[in-house]
Amino acid sequence: MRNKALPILIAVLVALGIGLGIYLTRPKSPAPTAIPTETSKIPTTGEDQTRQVKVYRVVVENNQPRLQATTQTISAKDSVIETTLRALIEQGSTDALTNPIPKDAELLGVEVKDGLAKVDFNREFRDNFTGGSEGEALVIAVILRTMAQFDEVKKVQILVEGKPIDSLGHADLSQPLDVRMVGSEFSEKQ
Amino acid sequence: MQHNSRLAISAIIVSLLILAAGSVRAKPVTLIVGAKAIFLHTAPVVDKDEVYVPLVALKAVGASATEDGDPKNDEQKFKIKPASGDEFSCKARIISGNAMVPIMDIADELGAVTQWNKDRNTLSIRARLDEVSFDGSKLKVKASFPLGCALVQSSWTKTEKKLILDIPGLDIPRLADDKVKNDTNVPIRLGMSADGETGRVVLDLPQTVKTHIDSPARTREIAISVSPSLKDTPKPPENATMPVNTPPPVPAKISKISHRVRNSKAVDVSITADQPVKYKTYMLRNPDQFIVEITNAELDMKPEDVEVKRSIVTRMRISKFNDTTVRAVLDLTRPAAFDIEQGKDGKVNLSLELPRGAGGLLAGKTIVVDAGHGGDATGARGISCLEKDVNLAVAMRVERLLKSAGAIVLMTRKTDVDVPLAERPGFAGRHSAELFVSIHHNAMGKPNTGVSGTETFYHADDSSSRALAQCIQSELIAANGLPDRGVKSDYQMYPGSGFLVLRGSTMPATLVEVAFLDHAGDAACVRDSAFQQKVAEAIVRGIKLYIEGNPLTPPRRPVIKMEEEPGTSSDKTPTTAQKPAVSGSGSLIPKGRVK
Repeated sequence: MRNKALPILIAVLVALGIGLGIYLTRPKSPAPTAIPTETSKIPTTGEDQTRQVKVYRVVVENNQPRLQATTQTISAKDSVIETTLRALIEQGSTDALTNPIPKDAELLGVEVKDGLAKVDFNREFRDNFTGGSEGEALVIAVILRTMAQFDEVKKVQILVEGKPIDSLGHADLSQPLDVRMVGSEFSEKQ
Repeated sequence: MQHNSRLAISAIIVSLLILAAGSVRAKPVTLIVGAKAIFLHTAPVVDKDEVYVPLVALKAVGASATEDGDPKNDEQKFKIKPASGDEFSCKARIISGNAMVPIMDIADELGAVTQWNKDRNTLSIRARLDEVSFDGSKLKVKASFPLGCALVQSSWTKTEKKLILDIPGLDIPRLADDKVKNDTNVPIRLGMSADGETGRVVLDLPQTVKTHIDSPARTREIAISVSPSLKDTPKPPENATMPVNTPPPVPAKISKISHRVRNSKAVDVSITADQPVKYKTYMLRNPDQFIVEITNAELDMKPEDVEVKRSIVTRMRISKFNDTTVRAVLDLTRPAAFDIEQGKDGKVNLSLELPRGAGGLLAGKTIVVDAGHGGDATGARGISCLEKDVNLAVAMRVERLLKSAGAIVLMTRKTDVDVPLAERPGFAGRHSAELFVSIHHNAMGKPNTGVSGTETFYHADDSSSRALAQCIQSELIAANGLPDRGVKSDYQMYPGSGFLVLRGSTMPATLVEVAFLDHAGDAACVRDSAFQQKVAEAIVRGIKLYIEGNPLTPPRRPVIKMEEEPGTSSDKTPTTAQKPAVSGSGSLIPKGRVK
């Protein structure tokens, strides 16, 4: 038994050593913000490298808010997820469509790793939020629904200045939220 | 058994004695008008096919009487002036010094419907339905004599909004569509409540509306104003719920309904179908009823109507509602917590229970009232108001009202301080509170969205919390005049997560969103202290309703016996039998005394 086990043990140790070596000498990631992974899955349209993405706003019908997508064409050269989130935040409101994201909110960065997207906002995201439970749910819903179009994002954690927040008043935002967690309340208007 | 037979023998002897006493047999008859028993100092008297009532009883059917000549031979002629139509004369009999008029004759003249219930010795007099009209902004119901009404905008399901007008004492026959003058595309349905005493007019609303009862408390012409006008409602598409290109599925066959009384507080009901079915549920007030509406189904059994003894459900009926829908209607003694699930075999299992923390009296219960937000956590920022302030203002009023009703009230905050979200239900748990009521106001957070109204939340699918939310919401919308956004699970907002203050509660818990503070109309209401008081009173009424049940619902309501019992023809029952519109033919009402 011992004679047979020894070479296996040595082989495992050698393998671990090599692994550690590779890990320690790996290239450093360029910047803390915007690390798109697996963007290869996202189809791009030919040489101009543009891509159609959906961003969501709120439409009110019969006193009931729902989500409605608009399609935007973005350059796929930059991080697709980050560009899409910026488009989501910056889109204006019209008579029919309301952008629920609080005034002056800005994206500080987004980091996607193992299916979890950490979306970091400036403090205005929290401080300028003036809604109640309905407004809060809509802010979360448009973020989750927009992120759900990216295969590599399964969950979203909302951060303010790099730190998790408890809530905007009602929901538990301290934990990552499943992108499918958009309430039946806000069924999407086609 | 021996006891029973002895009772029966003594009953026979007593009846013989009464028979021997004379041709006019004094039997205690109760007169029911407008679904209410009319209490008379002089009891009505039954003689042959007629019921004689004192003149004062005519008031109840909107008629008055004046003497016509002098009395002779124990008879007195009267001129009867009905609420509508011409005067007519009738002969009253002088019985024990009182002038008594034949009410069934008079009811015929008035165009009213009478129904004699031999078992209970009651005579119901219901007004005839003359006309229902709707032009989009006015709903009018004309009856043959003055009646009151109750108006509910039901919201128990989110997609289906209904305006339900209940008119106790109005008789709506089965095929009354010719009485409906509808100038809109809003579907109007007519029916009767389970006890057959209340006529019901139901509008399937395309949107939430504001309603107002314009007519006086008792009138022949009930008028409801509806705004905005529904005149231009588009025609509902046929089979709107069915996806295009799918052949209509074979209707499910409903073959059995059975129940099991678990105890005085819980009843299980199961409905057998031959395939999985789609259903909707409704919890109605006044009377308290739970309805399961099974769509795309037909009845593969006789309509059933069963009395349920000694529990929270008093009666259970199943019948065809229309060509594609089967309805089970359960009469309740009070608002109940319900759970419903469907097995793979298509069996729908339903349980109705006394909700947790309910029963007994409001006095002595421990209730935590939570004013949302506070301190730096301002909550929603509305038009000239902050949510934390109006939450506290309403919560303090709720506290005062609950305390004066004898409840033990604990406040999560009484000043402008922030209390962490998870600490609020924690506080309630540590103090063994029986109920947790959180008071909030809503906002979209962006101007001019137009969103307005009242909604009440419960956590996940907690059936007791849902019942509490339903009780509070129904009182709120009846009182505050704002759009009814419904009773919602917090999972409708955040599936699998919900609201922090509700999630942490171990007792039945609810979160009320009174109004939208960034809606100009709502905000103006909320800033008004009279409105705050009205809201607080409605919340307290809802809590009381949850705990004590509906004061308007008698403990058990009568099952009206329609058929004449065979073998008792000597006492021919006067009847213009009118079956309740919603119950099918051949009702199977068990015999037996109803308590």
